[in-house]
Amino acid sequence: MTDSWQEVWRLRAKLYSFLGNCLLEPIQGSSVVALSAKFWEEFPLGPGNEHLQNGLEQLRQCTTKLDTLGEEEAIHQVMLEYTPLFLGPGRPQAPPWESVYRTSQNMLFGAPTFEVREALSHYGLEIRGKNKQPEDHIGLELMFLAAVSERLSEPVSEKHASYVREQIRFIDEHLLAWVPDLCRDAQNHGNVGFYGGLIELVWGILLWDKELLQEYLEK
Amino acid sequence: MNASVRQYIKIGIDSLGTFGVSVDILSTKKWLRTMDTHSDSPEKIAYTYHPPDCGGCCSHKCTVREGRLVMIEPNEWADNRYSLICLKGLSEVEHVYSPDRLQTPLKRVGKRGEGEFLPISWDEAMTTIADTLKRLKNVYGGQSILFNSSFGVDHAMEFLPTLLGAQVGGGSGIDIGCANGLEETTGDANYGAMYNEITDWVNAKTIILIGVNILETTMTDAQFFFEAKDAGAKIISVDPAYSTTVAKSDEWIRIKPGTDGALLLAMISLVLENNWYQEDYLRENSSAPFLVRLDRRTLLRFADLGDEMPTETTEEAPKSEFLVWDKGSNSVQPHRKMGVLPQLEGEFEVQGIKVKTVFTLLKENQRLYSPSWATRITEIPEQSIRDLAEHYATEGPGVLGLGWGGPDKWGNADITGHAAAILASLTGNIGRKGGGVGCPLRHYVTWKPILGVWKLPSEFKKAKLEMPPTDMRYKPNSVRALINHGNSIQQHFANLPKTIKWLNQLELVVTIAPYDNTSVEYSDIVLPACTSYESEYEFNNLQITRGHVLLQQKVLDPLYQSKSDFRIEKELAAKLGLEQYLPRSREEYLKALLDSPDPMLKGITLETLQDHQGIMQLNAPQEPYIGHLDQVYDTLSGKLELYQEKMIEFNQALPNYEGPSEATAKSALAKKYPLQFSQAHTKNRVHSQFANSRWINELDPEPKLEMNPQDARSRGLREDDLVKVFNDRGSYKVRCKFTESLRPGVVRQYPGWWSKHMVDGNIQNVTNDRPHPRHYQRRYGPVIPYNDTLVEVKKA
Repeated sequence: MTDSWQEVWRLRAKLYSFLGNCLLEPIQGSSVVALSAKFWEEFPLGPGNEHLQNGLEQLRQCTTKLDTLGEEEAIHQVMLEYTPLFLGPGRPQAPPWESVYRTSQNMLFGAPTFEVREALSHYGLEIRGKNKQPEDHIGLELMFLAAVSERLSEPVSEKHASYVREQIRFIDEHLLAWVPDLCRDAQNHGNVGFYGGLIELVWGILLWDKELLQEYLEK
Repeated sequence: MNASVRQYIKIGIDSLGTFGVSVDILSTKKWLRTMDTHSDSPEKIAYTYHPPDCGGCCSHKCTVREGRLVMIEPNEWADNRYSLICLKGLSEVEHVYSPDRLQTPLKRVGKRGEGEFLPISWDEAMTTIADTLKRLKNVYGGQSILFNSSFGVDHAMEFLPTLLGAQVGGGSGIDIGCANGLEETTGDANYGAMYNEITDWVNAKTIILIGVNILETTMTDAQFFFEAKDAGAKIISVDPAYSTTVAKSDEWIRIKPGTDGALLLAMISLVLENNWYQEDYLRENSSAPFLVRLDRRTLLRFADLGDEMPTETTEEAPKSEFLVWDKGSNSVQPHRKMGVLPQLEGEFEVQGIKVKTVFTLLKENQRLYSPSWATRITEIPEQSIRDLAEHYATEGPGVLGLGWGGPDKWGNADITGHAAAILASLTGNIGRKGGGVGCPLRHYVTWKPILGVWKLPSEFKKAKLEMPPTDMRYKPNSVRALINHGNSIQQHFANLPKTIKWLNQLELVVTIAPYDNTSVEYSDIVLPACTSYESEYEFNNLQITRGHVLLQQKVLDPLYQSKSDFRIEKELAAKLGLEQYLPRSREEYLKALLDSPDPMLKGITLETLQDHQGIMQLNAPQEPYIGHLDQVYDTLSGKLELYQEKMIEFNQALPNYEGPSEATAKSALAKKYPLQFSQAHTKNRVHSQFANSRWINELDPEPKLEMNPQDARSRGLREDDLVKVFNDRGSYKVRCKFTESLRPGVVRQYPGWWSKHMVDGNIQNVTNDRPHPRHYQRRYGPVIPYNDTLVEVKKA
């Protein structure tokens, strides 16, 4: 257990960046570390809740199998899972965008996209390649949490509490409002189990993180 | 208070970093950046047009808010009749953002057709394609590469096929069935399109539409249908099915599918029998008085008489080698010679050669085609045929419309076209205000300026198309790579199982498209094109239609990793070392197009177009376009050539009826497969476009096989049953729908649905791809007889 909130914020920033990076592109290059069982054995979070536990357990089991394949084949297998889940061709099996789950017409670039864009702009941020892909991609929403957590790790200011409250609201109103559905789709359609596990872990982390943020506010 | 949730942080802050995780993966930098202070204005308006495949080519005013297309409205045309939009245009607000969009370049990893792909970078994709094309060109020549593009692709590869010396498919075999017969007579070269613009319908007294469902397929022109009706024209629809257009017509003639030629032949007989033909018109403007040798069946020429062509003749009329019998001198004379009065009918002997006039032969030949005969073939009551012929011939001017979808896609379509040409010639309805023959849709023939061109160095030439691409599937040919733009693999070939076998023999199949259409499944490399609303450039393209020049401005940035068609061509050209021959930008290209001395384009530049909301009227007459008012035709004789010498060997110099190739009770297949399988376009799709438009699919949610309840009952089917549609070529599965609008014996599938929309299979698994041997001698080659298809249907 760590006592320093500064350390917590830095951990959160890295954790969410890591998860976001793992979801925004197929696992390759520097993210390949996520395909080894050792990584998940030593993952810095314990099983704080059911989804965190399930997600971690699934990732450990999945990567233990992947370890036996050799790195190149493991990357290939996980990419074969990533492509139909999140890229297509055709409607992705687990469309990674909030708008698809949360608008009445399951339409891309729906209101959630612009809410996330707005949230980013409060911190003077925007996504690279703006207007080319929607901001409510799961990975980009996680990136938003990471970016704000980076701000929180800067010397404490009077803004901190409001940043934290905004984070709680963002987790509730955006991520937790659709990640369970995304998780179900990824679990149902994934044939390797890596992304099902990863998104279940994200779900668990979000639940844990919300408690963490509330704890900070109650402090 | 509970124990802190921080207890679950097992280890220290930088633990992620200490386990070999590099810094970049722990950072947001790749995806987020500080806001660009020069960000777009919150709202902008851009003008574009809808890609022209439906003929509408509507001009769109697009509102973009915060980078998202939020509203499409009709733009204002100078000729306000065209300031329209249909549901397909409006639906682009959703369609552009379809979750079906291809996001990244893909390479196939499974077998062709299995649909297993992995993302690759643009660089890898382009390198793979370029390396293969270079190798093929070096080893087998440019003709080993075939470019084939869907009609809906506004900018298909325009430069690379020439630079590579490749073959271009060009949609051969489509929309040319009737034209094969019709244009042999008129000398036109416009896919059988009518030379009277539809705006001229208001001047017609009789309008006959054979398989023309204009109220669905060309909705923006529906106004001219009603305008003509209001002006008093009688509109008669000849259609096997009760279509939307039929419902609004004055009369419906319910013809047996595939027998349109028989109806027209009987009408010709009636016109001849009753002397309803225009004698002077025929004498002056057609080959009716030309003489035919009875021994060889060829037209009598000077050369037949062993004479040199008289000098006086060549000077006054260079195309006058054909001879007529001059009443005044009672001798053969050049048909163009001044003062000659050709005899329309008769049998003569010239230097021992027996000859008859074309008109006499036609009259004799037509004895086979009585109204009662046609009644047996077409199943139209004899009186209806008589009335139709009388009305058309005596209540002129008359329009004789042939649809590109209905009568066209049959093995006997050329005969239909030829008969239509003769019927319109007999009644003087060609080159006549209020007349016209052919396909009346799309303003296909209209005021068109000559555009400038982007010149490629003359050493580069496209390869000649060796054979129709549909034949490449089973005849020896040079092609080893297919570059498909759009969905041509599904749409430009009937009999998909045979197409797939061919694709499996190719070294490379590439599909360039915005959406995951059926062609994607069979491709080795898939390149995500952006839609026509998106571009890296300020402009995409321009079109000229209905007397206006329309500019396609950029509305959006290309989504995901997609690129514009032009950018894709340019980058591929760069990999092939050919980029220097292409325009540097769309602006440069469009300026080259508009750089033309044609007076119709005076004052129309890229700049003035921008100043006029992307649309300007040509400096052209405001009245409807009518071709051949001068009665000059681009034929050997310069006249309407009723007698088609090319067809002598097939006994079709004058039209002789022949039934459908497959979809007839006489076919050997009819016992096994008794149902005619028809396709018909609807207002909801343009070929296979919009199959994935979810707003449109709210109205038309899934493919259905339509059938008459009588056929359904006899097969024990209930409404909405899952059925298998099959023949020897293949099968597919859909749900069925009963409709009284179809004749018994006919089933209908609205085309365009992709394989993934079907319960199983694809509509093209059953369609007839067999070319008619005669068509190889026709000007456009064989038509793909999609509608000339027999199937059986059973519960799946």
